[in-house]
Amino acid sequence: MEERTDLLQGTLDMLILKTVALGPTHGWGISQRIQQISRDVLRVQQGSLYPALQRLERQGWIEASWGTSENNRRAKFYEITDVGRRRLAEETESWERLSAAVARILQTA
Amino acid sequence: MISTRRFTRGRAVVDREGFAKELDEEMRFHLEMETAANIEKGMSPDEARREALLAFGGLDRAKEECRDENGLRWLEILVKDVRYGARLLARSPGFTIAAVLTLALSIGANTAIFSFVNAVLLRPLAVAGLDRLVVVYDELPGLNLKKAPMSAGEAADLSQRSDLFEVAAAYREADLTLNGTDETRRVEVTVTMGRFFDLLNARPQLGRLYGLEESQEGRGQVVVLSDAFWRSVAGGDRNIIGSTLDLNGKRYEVIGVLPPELGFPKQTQVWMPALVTSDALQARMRLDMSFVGRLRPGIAPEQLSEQLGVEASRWHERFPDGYKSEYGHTLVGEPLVDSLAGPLRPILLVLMAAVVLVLLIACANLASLQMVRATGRWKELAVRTALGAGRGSIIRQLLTESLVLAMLGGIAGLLLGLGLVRLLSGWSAVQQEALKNVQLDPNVLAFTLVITLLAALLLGLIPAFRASRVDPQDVLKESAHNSSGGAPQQRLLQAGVVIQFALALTLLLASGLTLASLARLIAVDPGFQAERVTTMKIGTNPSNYPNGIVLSAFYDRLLERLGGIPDFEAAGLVGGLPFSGDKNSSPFAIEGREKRSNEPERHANIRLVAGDYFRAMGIPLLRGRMFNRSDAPLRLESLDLESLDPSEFPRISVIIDESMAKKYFDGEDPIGKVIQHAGPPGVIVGVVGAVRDGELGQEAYPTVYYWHPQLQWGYPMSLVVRSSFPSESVAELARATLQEIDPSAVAFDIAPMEDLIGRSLGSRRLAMAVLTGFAGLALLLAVIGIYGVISHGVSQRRHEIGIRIALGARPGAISGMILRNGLAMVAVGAVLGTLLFLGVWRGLSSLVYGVEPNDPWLLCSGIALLGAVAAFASYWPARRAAGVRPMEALRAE
Repeated sequence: MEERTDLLQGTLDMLILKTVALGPTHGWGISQRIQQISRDVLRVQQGSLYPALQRLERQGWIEASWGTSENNRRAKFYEITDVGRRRLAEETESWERLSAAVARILQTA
Repeated sequence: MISTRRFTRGRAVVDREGFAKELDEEMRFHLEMETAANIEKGMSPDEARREALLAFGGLDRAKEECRDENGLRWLEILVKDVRYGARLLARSPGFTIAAVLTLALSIGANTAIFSFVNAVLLRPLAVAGLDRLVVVYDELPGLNLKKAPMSAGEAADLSQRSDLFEVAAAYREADLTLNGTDETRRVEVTVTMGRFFDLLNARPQLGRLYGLEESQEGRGQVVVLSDAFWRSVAGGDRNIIGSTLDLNGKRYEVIGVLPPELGFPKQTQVWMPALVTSDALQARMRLDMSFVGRLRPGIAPEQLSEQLGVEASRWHERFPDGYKSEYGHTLVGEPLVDSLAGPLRPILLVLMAAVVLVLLIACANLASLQMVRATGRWKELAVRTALGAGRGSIIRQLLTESLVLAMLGGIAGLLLGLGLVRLLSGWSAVQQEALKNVQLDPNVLAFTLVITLLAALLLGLIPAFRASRVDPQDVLKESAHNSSGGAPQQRLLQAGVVIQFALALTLLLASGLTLASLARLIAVDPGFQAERVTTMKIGTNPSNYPNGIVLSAFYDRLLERLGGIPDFEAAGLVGGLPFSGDKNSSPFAIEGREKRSNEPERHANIRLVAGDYFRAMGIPLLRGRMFNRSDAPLRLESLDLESLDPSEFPRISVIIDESMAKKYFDGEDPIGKVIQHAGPPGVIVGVVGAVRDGELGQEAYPTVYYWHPQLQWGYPMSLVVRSSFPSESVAELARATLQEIDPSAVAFDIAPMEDLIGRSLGSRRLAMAVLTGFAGLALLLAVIGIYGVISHGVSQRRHEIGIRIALGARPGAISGMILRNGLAMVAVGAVLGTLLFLGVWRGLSSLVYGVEPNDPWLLCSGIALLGAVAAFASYWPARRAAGVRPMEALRAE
């Protein structure tokens, strides 16, 4: 169980960052967006978002604040920071390089 | 968007409630939204909620992980475990108390003994370069002298060997009388030769210290004072420097005071340089100087031995008369540390071994206590595992519990150790120098903590492994034929008991051996009647007594006055009181009996007596007569000694003891024979009973008694008074009498004779007492162990016992079965223990006297005691087993 989380950790972080980069939102909103964008392929345990959010916030890539939701409920909203944006760009680049390399290997076989 | 303050790490710990509330709210919101979305998709409210929860995953898990991210998780876990552990411990007070007590006792004892070992072996002196300091002794096996001091000449010669020693010095101790304006007192003086203070790296706190120059003849006499003496005699007055002291009639200028931490040899109050005359340098056999040198770096012990041998040979060549070949003279070197530790070392090592044994037993005890306890908690542990606790967390929790226990035990142990050390330091029977000021020190602290942690890990590990291997299914299924890990665990517990009893028996037999030895020793007849005898040393000012005649007159007057005191049955004087450490021995020749070359050297002790010594001590007269008036001092003035033939030399009277008579005059009457011993030839006028001298365990040494008027020497004589008065009263009366006759004379070192004998047994008594204590402790621990294990066994076997009883077994048979079980363990333990004891008893050989280790009485009584104790411990569980009601037993579980 723990191993899977490890693998997902880095990827999950990126997904969250990307999602939040699109616009500030709360935890549920993030999980919905990930589902939407990935066309339901990625079904992450919704609960595991929250530790990830704590981590990202601690590292300074996102910022949190309490606000009101669409339906007038109190919710915690997350927003990407400048540092976070930079980080996202870096990771996106290395991810693309990685997947390109993997694709090449698979092709040559 | 209102930006709130960022989460800082640790918030989860610092503001747990706030953090938890926020998280809770956030997650609740999430779930509500998801539920709403599900409802919109068409699910019923209940279904919607369920699906939302499923999609979310483990709520608590997520919360935990969030806390992990933000909190100091390890600290939280630790605190939680510690709290939980403490609660559990509090809930089983019996276990906790037993465990803490066990640890405290075994750690406390360790600490106390270690402090002793430390004090004696590791740090007897506050001197830099202690490890390089070496004592060199004369050894003259032909004269039965081992580790003897050197003569001044020898010390001077050896100091010249700068290739061996960086710095060298020699010293001897003396008692002198300080004649003050208002008081007379006895002072402990150390007379030194060579660069004594350089050897100790001593710096004065006041004034200066003397060096080599002051030792020369003709120079003014100077002294250095100890800090304690300075404060006592001058009240710490700094003007003491330059003032003079009158010691034994001679005037000495005070030039310096040593700092308080420096005091070698111990108890010295005044140091003075020796007046080394050329005569003294020639007298190679006047052995009174202790030599200490600092070895040059790079000199190995073998090298030193070799060089000492070379030096000794040189001396033999230069002084053929001084070193007769039959003496077998050699030089022997030993590190100063070892020489100070002396005879204590073997005893202390034995004690350390005992301490380790006890700790082992204690650990075995606690391990089985823990194992038993773990069994009882399996349900709880099974449930925790089912709820997701990993093996690691269970092990960790059990370990933390053990650590809490160990810490408690460690603290209690340290406190106990402090108390014990104080107790042992004040032990009156032990008059050993090195043990006078023992305190706990930082090394001990470290040692204790290491042991504590080791104990905790040792104990916590075993049950932790066993418990965590439990399959939750088994325990939760509540299989009646107990899941306790059954046979293998029982075996382990039983093995533990066997080991405990084996070790306990070893200690028991060891203590029994020393006990029996001590009993034998105490029963040894010292050769005199020690009850109702008071002894004290009499010191006089030599300047008042220029020759022996005057001194005898003084003693005569003293004894006459003392004899007049009612209730003083007898009073006498002796130079060389038995059991006081004063001994003088010298070779002798028997007139008319030439010594054959293959015969060993004849030697005997010299004892000078005056007054009614034999009657005062209760030494019986066996043949001939006591000394009396007819044994007058020799009148040598009218004789021309040079021209006299040796056989015409005037004789003095001597009395020999039985051991000498047996050894050298077996089968003939010694009365009338003449011997040449110490001084003029002596004719034997009487034979008295032999007296044991310093060691009850050793045979009495041949002794020749001399009569004071005929022979004198400069050392203080001891007064011996037989009286039914207590010692203090005797001393008072003696002092008063002394004052009347000569106000400058002092009486000191007052002690009843029995005390002196007791002191000689002191270290043995201590060893025996402590060993017995350890044995008792070991036995107690083993009893707790066996009780616990058998009790546990009975609980585990309730089902089986129930069946047996239901099938018709009598209660007696059941309890018999349990008892046999227990005794079987003890029997195996006894066998192992006996073998172990027989294997290691040699370590005790220095303490053994008059008893063989394989003495059947000893072994039988030891094993019997063990068996009785074990039977007692097994009795209660056995009774409980017999009282098991079959229906209940079968229904339970």
